[in-house]
Amino acid sequence: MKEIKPKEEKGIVPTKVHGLKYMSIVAYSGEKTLPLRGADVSNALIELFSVTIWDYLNFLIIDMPPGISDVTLDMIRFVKNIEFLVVSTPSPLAFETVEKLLTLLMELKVSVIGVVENMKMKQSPFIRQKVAEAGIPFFGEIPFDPKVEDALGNVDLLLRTDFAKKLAEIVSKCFSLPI
Amino acid sequence: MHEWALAEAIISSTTQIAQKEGLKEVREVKIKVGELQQVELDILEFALSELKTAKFGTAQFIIEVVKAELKCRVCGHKWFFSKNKLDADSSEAIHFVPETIHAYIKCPKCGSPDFEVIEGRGIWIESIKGVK
Repeated sequence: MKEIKPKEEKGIVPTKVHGLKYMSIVAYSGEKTLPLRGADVSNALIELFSVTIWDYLNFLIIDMPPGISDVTLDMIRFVKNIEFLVVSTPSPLAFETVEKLLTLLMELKVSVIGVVENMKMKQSPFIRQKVAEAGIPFFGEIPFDPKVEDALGNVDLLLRTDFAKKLAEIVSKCFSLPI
Repeated sequence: MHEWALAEAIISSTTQIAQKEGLKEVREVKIKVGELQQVELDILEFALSELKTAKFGTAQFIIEVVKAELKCRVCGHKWFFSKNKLDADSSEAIHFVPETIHAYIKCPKCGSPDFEVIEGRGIWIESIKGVK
């Protein structure tokens, strides 16, 4: 954890991890359990937004909890021009929640750039079809890759997994970026 | 020091409010600082004086610290936050992200980490005085 500790310089300067500027509340709570209610999660996120000096960025990616919680609503409220990239598992049950999020975002006229299906274990067109029915771009499927678990904490190893290769393909195709 | 980021936000918000209210010059800004934030007041004052624009002229920044009071959601016990009971790392974590208090402090009566900060969190502008 000490390696990702942000520096303090007229604000908080995020640590660079493999060329990515990284900020998380974990830098301050460490390995300790941090039980937070919804409003506290919102406040923590707003605090981090207020004091972090991101400087110039190509993209600011916010890893959000699933569903429509305080944090999702706050991000829509505070981040101008926010765009959602929604990730779903293949489970029809999980997609019910995703569908509600998509409906909310469309009602609020918040941009949804696309949906990615993650941890796919068997062939099924279910998610692809449902996303198409909603009129939202489907970015692709990422197969379940058991090697990811062993690669956590080792970026080089992680980038060599099938998961990372497939993700790179999707990013390259959907955002016109080189792999 | 992230006091500079806070000062920048105060100047920016005050400027926006002054513009909205049609103030030609800001004369006084009352700021309340939650104790939980453990803001270094000298640095905050210095940063405000350095970052203020011409619109602020000789404006006075009045800063008041609000004691942090906590209330357990399980047993209802109320108590005041005390920085002295924390080690330097925990204290620093709460300084940057006050919500991390739930990782470092528990209700002194029942031991629950499920408590609320009744007051003394955050930093806010209490009032602005100026000339129209």
